[in-house]
Amino acid sequence: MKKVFMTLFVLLSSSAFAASYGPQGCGLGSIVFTDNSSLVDQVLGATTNGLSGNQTFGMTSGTSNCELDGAGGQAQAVFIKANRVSLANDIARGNGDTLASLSRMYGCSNHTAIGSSLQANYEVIFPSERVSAYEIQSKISNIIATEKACI
Amino acid sequence: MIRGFFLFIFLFHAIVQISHASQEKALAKALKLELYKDKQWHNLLHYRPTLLGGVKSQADGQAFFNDPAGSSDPQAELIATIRAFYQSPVHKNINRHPSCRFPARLLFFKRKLGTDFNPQELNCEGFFKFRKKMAAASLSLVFSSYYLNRPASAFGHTLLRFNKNKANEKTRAYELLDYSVNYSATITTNNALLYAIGGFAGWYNGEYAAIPYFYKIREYNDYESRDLWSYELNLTAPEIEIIIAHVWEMSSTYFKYFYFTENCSYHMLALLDVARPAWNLQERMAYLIIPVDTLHVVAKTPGLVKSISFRPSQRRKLKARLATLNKTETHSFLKFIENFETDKVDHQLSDQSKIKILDAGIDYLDFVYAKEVLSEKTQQLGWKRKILIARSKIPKKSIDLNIQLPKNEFPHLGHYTRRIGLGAGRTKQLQEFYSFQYRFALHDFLDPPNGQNPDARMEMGDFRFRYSPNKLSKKFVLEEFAFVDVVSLSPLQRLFSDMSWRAYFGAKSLNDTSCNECLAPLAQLGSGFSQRFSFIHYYLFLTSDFALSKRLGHRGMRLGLGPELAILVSPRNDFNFKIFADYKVFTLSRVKKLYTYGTEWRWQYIKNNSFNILYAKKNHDWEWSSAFYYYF
Repeated sequence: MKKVFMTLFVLLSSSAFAASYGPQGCGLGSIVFTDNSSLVDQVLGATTNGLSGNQTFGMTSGTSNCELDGAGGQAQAVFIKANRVSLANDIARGNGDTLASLSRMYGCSNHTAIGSSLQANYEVIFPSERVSAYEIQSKISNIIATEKACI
Repeated sequence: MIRGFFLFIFLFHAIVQISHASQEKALAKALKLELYKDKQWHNLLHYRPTLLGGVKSQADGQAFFNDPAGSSDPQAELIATIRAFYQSPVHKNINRHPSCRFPARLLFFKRKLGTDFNPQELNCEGFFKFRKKMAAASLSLVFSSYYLNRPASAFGHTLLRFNKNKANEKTRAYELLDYSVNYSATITTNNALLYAIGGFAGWYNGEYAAIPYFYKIREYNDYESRDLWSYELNLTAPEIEIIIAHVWEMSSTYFKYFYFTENCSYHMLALLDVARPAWNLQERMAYLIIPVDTLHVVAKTPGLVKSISFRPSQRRKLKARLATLNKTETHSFLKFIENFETDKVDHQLSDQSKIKILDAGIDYLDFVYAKEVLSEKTQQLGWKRKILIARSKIPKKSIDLNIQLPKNEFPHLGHYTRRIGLGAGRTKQLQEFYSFQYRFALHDFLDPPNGQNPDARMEMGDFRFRYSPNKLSKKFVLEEFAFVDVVSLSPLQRLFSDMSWRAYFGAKSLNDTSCNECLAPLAQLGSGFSQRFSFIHYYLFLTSDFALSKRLGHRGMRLGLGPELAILVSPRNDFNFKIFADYKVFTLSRVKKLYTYGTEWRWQYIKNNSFNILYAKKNHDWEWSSAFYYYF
């Protein structure tokens, strides 16, 4: 009985914490998806709870591609890459937290005007489904410059 | 020329002498003040008392110490650290000088020794850049609430956010630009088994990491649809300064990560303890830490919490969007989301209505297809693109969702996580008995629901013992050990339906006719549906059952299947009851049919103290019992 119990325990716990190993990286893009439907994962698995978290990347080593302190358009592109789903929603809606934060990164104090300009240019900014963060960044810069949208 | 040379040597010596004198003066003062006994010094070095009466640092990297014996000798470490700060910078890379590597210890001495401590000021480029990026007006302890249909996620996760702005409604939007400090384990294996054992045994290294907070918003708020609760802390600017400096210091070391003891929450409190040792947060925690416990400790510390706010999950936002739709709009919305075809949105409707429908559609797609959207599956990207283009063509802004702070869901209001129970009862077969139980975590449906996931039961490590003075049975028995007992409900409702299910793994004393008082390993899995009508919940499952015991029959096991029903009634936070019934047919065992039905009532008469009454009727037996529960 002891054996059976130990086996159960080990099996269960292994599945519980199996949910989140994988390569390190920044944020969501680096979460390795396991089969969410698997029962053990559901019973015990807390995919990204600190109990099993692995989203570690040392502050001093090779983190530049996740960081916001890059120079020039770099920081905006990093932001856009990580927030692109939400940013696309906000631009289509002309309003939202992600849009407000990004407009502050472009040095705008008020995101009302920039919201309307970007909304009107949605298809210019997102010409296809898989456009890169750098392209999005430069399109937004251009629109802000030409329409003087940034107050 | 020669005179010049001698002058140089003289001056050099003089400077070294002055510097040396200053160092000795600083050392003498530090020793006189017994700074090596200072609580803050101990917190900075992460010293913890050992059983032998000494101390040992929890930091496991030797680079964290300036003295070879530093990990267990606070005084030697203090002396070596002061000397290290006075070293003239020889490295080409100034960032490797102790003053640049241990800025919090430097601050500590500056504050404690004043003008007597004056080592050379260095231009620590790396640290200064870090300090600038982390610069904060205030700090918040952030807690991620449960992830639906993953009951174990109710343990939560905590991190610290360094708020660029003072937290308030207006600055909420800019939280995305804040930095956060997170503590987690670095996993070095792909083997699930090693992973699990290592997590409990502390094989993996835990590290602090500073990352932009938006990664956490995307991960928890959006992808996992969990509310993020922020407890803004009352810290002074100098306190924030030393925390930032200490986070930097931590990059030179690592800790062993233990899932249930030295985990993310434990190490977040360590950072706060560095700022103000008097709070003594870490030591006030129990040995086994569940992240939500940290909120209890922080909330109980007078004056520590300044304000509480939350960032609603994707699911909560979607619900708020759906609530704005009127009947016609809802009708149009439901047609539209069948295949996400934007031309199904009624053209007759006003722009305002179309905006509401499309906005709800955007959130619905993101919620239901969170995984597909994130991993950029072609079909969902295509749908999404069409909706967003249609939305952008209506040149009006969407208004901000007004989601009220759900005050009775504050996670710190929940009952404590561990529970013990003492009780007595009577069964037909055993006559009277006394019971003792201990539950490591976390919640069942009759515990006070405030601050908990209302749709889940998550119990881990539940031990139940029974003592019966009766001659017929064993005196003191382990009645049950539930390693995990989980019920996850997803009440039927339009657009949010998911499977409801339950799982049990443990061992139980099967007090039925097939096996009197044998402790048998038991597994149960069930699924079905549930529904909620205001404060009444019910679920109906088909549940399978598998138990092992020689006394069940000559095969030594039983396999069973049957329906199970529970009606849960929660009219108030402090009063809850349920009515339950289940029936199972078995194969392989002697006994072929078993039924149970009964009711259980629980009343919380003082916070974290409850009284429980249970009545259950079984095949040839009945039981009634009562117990006092204490949560801690």
